[in-house]
Order: sequence, then C-alpha cells, then structure tokens
Amino acid sequence: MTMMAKGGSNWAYAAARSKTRKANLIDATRMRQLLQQEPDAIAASIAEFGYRSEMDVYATRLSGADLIEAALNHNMDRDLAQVLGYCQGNLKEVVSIYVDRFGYQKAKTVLRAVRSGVDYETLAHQVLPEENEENNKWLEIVKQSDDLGDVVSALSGTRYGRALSDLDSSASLMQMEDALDAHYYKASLETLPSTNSLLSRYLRAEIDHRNVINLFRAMRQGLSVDQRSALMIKGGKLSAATLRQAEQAADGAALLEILRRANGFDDTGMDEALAASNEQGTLDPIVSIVTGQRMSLLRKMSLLNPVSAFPVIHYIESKVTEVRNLRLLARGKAAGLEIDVLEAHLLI
Amino acid sequence: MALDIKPTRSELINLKRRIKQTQNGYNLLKLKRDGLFYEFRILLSEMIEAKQALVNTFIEAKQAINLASSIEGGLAVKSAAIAIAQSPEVEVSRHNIMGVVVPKVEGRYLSQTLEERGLGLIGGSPYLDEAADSYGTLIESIVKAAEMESTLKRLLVEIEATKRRVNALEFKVIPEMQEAQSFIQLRLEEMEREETFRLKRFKNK
Repeated sequence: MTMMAKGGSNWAYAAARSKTRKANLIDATRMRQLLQQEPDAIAASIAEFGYRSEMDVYATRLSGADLIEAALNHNMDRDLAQVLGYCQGNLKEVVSIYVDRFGYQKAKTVLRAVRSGVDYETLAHQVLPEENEENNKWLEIVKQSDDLGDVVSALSGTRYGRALSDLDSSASLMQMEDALDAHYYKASLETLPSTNSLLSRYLRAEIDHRNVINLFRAMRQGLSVDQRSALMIKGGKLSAATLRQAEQAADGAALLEILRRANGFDDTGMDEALAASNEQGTLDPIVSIVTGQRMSLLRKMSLLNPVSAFPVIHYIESKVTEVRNLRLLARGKAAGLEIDVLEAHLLI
Repeated sequence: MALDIKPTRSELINLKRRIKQTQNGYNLLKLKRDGLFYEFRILLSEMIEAKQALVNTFIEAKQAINLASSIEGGLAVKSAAIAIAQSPEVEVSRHNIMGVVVPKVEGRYLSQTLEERGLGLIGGSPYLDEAADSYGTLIESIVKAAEMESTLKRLLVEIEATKRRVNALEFKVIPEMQEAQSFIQLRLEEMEREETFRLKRFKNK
C-alpha cells in the first residue's frame, strides 16, 4: 500500500487506539433508545455519554438544543485534536488531510461573518463559540478584519489562503467559498502519495457523491448548464465526459440514466429515491442514499485495510456521525419532528 | 317636531330640488355600498384561501428549517443566515378601489435564487436550499396576506361608514326633508285658502 510505504508512522498503534475509541461510541441500539426519549432525558443521556464537561462549559449561557449542539461540536473538535495527537509521521499527514475539511468550513464562516459585518460578540456567542479553543484563531481573524480582503491577507500562507490566492480582489463571497471547497479536494488529492492510495480513492468517491448531489440540486434550482458546470468538483471517478453529459440532463431520470452508464456509479436504490424525491418535492431521499453509500464505502475500506489510515478516518467519520445523530435527536425532538422522520435520518 | 322652515314657494322649490339631489346621492351611496360589499366578499374568499395557504406554507417552512437545523446543525443554519447578501425589502404604495385608498405591498428579494443568496454553491446543502426556498415562499405569502388583510380592513371601515350614511339618508335626512316638504305644501295650501276666504269677505263688503 502506498500509504504504508513511508516510515515514521504508527499505523498499528493509531489503528488500535481508533478502534478502541470507536467501540466506545454510542451504538445503534442505544441510539434507537435515545430516539424514544424526551428532550430533557436525551440531554441527560448525552451528558452521560462523555459530553458532560463540554455541556458544563456552555451551561451558564446556553440551554436546550443550542447547549447540546455547542457541547457536541466542542467535544468533536477536542476529539479530532486528540486523534491527530496520537498519529505520527505520514499517517498524521494523511489524517490531517481528512480533518482539514472542518477547518475549511470555519474559514467559510469567517468569510461570511466579515462580509455581512456581524459583530464579534454575536459570532463568538452564537456561531463560533469562544469557549472552544479551536475557534479562537478564527475569531481573532474576524476581530482584525474589516472586509474580505483583510481575511484573505490574514489567511495568506495557510492552505485556505492558497485557495483564495488565485481570485482577484473583487471576488465575491460565493466565489471565495467555491474556491475553498474546490481547493480542499484538489489540494488533498495532490498531497496524497498517488492516485491509487486508499484515501485518494475514498476522496474521489466522495467528490462523485458531492457532484451527484450538486447536479440534483442544480436541476431542482433550475440552474443553467454553465452554472451546473461551475458546480462540478474535478478529480472524481466519474469522467469529464460523463459529467458534461450529466450537466445537460433535462430531468432527474435522464441524469440517473447518464450516471448509470458510467463506470463505478452505484445506482442501488436510486430509482426508488428519485421517485420518492419527485413525490415529496425534496432531495432528502437522494441525499440519504448517497450518504449511506459513502458511509458503507468507508466502513468497507476500513475493514479491508485494518492497518492503514482508514481505521482512524473511519473512527473520525463515526464520531462525526455520532455528533450528527445526537444533534439530530436533540434538535429534532426540541422542534417536535416526528419519530419516523428522525429515524429515517439517523445514520446507524 | 318644530320645523324651522319658511313656508314659501321658493323654499318648496329648493326643498324639492334638495330632496331629488339627496335621493340621487342616496342611490349612489347604496350602489357604492353594494359595490364595496361585492369587492369585500371577493377579497374575503381570496383572503381565506391566502390565509390557509400561508398556514400550510408556514408549516412546510418550519418543517424544512427544523430538518435543516437538525441535520446540518443550528450553527450551520446561522452561518448561512448571516451571509445572505440581500435582506427582503417591502415597499408600500397606495391604490384606489371605488374611492377607497388601500395599500399595495410590493417586495424585493423575498424569494431568492441560489445565486442571489450569495453563498458558495459547491459546498451548499440541499436541506439549507430547501429551507431557504420554503422561507422565501413564506415571506411572499406573508406579504400577499398582509396586503389583502389591510385592504379588507380599509374596505370594512369604508363599508361601515357608507352604511351609516345610507341609513342616515334613508331613515333621517330624506324623511325629514319630505316632512318639511309636506309641511310647506300644507302651509301654502292653507295660506291659499286663507287668501281665498279673505278675498271673498272683502268682495261681500
């Protein structure tokens, strides 16, 4: 394996620790039990599952679902830092590439805040809580920036700065966000040792999934072929010719037919999802099936490559999924979403 | 009833003219009242439909935002919300329905396309798109319902006022004027009889 060829990495140790951590995550049975509980009981259970210290941090100024979400995010950031902490050498580089995606999200939030002139206090209290030490560097940028140009200057020298360096000074927020999203995959694929490495294979599949969702989004929003083309992320397994054809598809069925002809596209359940999507007027069924495919691929790669970066990445993704599921339960229950709806969106 | 009227022929002619004018005005006001009521009933049925649509749109929008907050996270929704390039704007002008000045509400940036929102397209979420679309439709429905509701209120006030005027003319002003007319006619006839009697007495002497 390409990723294992370089020395200095603690693949086996990191994989073992990640598997242990993964075993401690909330399992599907417990998650289904949580689904039946009331919001207050869910909050108490979440605290018991290892989120108590973060909940205590925010309990003085937040309550309800906001408190739970802030605590979950804080815990996840802390967890990611710990995981990176026990990875060494090349493994750390590979795992960092995966973890970087959360940094890109925060960079976009900072750009949005500065462009809209949101005051520091609002941002530090509601969007990037200052109690989370991982947010401090981002809040500092917001504090020192008056416009988007200042943010770009503050980010220069970082991977985010490199993503924005090709844009001219009059670039809009939309162009900057798109540049960041495209750069994450481009830079990640360039950094990885070869196109055959495990993570690059996974990232290429993820790019395809993102492109498929974006094609359906663009179609639903009535975007032109040129606009659809601008949405496509390069580097996926779907060929440029397939993407060009897909961009011109007249409707969901035609798009699915084009994708079905492409090599490596898993169309299992897509017909039913498309029919449900058209009937319900939402892309939810398609997003759910694509997300399920991505999770399944990650699980498969992790099992097939037990001594690689994948057990670590699989753990990170499982942690992200746990946080997502708990947030779904907390927010969904507080908002009064029906149990059927919540169950359909739980990733278990 | 004490009538402060001069029982003269010219007064009778004036009064007859005023009665005719008042009856014309009464007929016009009745037509206006009926016209306003017709407009009101049409608008009312539209308003009932619009309100029902508003409630349904609100439920859908709430469901969409709840789902987006639950799946993408409340922070992601807030992060997207702070970056919206153009906030919805509402402009209120006036127009006329049968002499009643009613508001005309026009909105800008109520329902925005993906590009108008100004957020990145590549990393966007379908759940946030759908929540934003639902809220765009909701704001449009609110603006439409607000315009209809204030129009209905103005029409209702005007119908009430017109109804009071019609009733006042029908049951007070016109009967009083007709009474005055009868009084003058009786008085003139009486004066005529007195004059005839006086002339006869004068002739006999």
